[in-house]
Amino acid sequence: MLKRLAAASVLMVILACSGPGATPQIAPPQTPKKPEINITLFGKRAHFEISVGLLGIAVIFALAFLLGLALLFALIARRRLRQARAANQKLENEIRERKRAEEEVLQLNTTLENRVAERTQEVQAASQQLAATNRELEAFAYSVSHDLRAPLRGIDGWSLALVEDYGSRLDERAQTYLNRVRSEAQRMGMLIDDLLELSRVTRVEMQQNPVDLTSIASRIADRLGEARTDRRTEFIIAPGLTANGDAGLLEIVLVNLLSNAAKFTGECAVARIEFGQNQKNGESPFFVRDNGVGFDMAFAGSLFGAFQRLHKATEFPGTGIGLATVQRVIHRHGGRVWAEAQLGKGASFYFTVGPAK
Amino acid sequence: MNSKPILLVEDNPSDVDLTKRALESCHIANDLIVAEDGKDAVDYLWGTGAYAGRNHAELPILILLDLKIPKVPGLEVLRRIREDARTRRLPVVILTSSNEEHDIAVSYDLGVNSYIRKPVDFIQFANAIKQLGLYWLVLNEPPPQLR
Repeated sequence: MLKRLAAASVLMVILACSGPGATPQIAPPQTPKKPEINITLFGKRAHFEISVGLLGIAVIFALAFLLGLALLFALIARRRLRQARAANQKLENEIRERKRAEEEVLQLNTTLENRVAERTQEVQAASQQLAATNRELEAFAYSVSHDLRAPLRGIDGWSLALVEDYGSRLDERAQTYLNRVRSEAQRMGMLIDDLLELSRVTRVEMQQNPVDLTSIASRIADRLGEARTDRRTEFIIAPGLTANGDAGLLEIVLVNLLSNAAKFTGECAVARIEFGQNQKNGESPFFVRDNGVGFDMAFAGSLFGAFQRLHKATEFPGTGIGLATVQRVIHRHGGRVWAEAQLGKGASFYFTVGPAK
Repeated sequence: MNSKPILLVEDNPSDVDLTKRALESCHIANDLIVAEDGKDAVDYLWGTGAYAGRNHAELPILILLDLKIPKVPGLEVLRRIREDARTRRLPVVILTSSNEEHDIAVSYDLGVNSYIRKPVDFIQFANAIKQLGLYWLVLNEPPPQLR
């Protein structure tokens, strides 16, 4: 429509300027006659009579020019509009794209947040479980502390009551036995205390003092030797062995290793249990060696695990906590513990106290 | 020596008898009231339950309190004693098997007078009882309402 109008206006201008039929017939001034204009437009003949003279022609030209200019502007504007629309469209697309990207980021963020929340929940659940386990362990230790010590006090107290009230009717050996009962009850009380101390390993501070391992081992050996009246046990304890550490905890190590040695030499005609120190690859490990039943090195991996046993309970009774306890104490001292053995040919347990130099 | 009774809160009969024996061995002649659980102890002190009608103005000169006892735990018994103006000043000694740091700390927070861990060795235990008796029944000046 706009195009057609533009064409018409251009035609009008052309006709007005040059067309023979359209050329205004200007009459000579002397014969004033109304000018006539004949235009053939779209096959129709238009007839104008112009009576305004030159001014009229100028107006027509101006009008036609203005019309053309307006059309030109309209065309340009239209083009600009199209361009603007296209740009707009592009912009809108971009905005849409961006929004989509933003939504995607938002979605990803939400997913991430959910995942973080999930993980946090998992971690919280795990830590709650750990806390519950710790509480259970503490409750267990608490119960042991209360309930296992009370009967020992009874054993000790009533043994003493027997000696005090009926001592005159007991011979010396009976009294010795009762004293043995008491000393064992008291020793067990001390061991319970040490084990509780061990279970509190993360809570209590470890003492670091020079410890006379020789005298501790000798004391333990005396006790073990006394208990084995039926067969000969030879203890060979190297003199002057010391280590820097916690005396109570290191005693637990030696009690366990020497008791094990005594236990697993039970079948030997002459049991030989040795405590000493070696020089090996720049390390100076202590060792407890025996000539007992030993064990198959194939099973050595599980030796230091809690409740791990390499022998039938009917052969050699035990709880399987001893070597786990030994390992925990040694690890707390920054040392290491290992074993070498051969089935039927005895076992050697090595340990270092403190990290290798 | 003050002749008011001693209240022993202890559920283990062997420990009750050993405590009696230790008290006798050091000639402490005060009556020994035994509460076998925390509720018994509370009932005795406030004249309720099994002790309904007891003149609860008569208070023990010393309370020997175990912590791990049935029904009402030892620390709760101690808390109630310290909350009531009538019983607040009673000398209370915790006499128990455990030396859990938490128990010791809470006992002192609640205002216990002393905390003794019962040794396994009876000679040490009897010695502890003897010293407790000598201190709280002879040396110590009791609060006014217990004189």
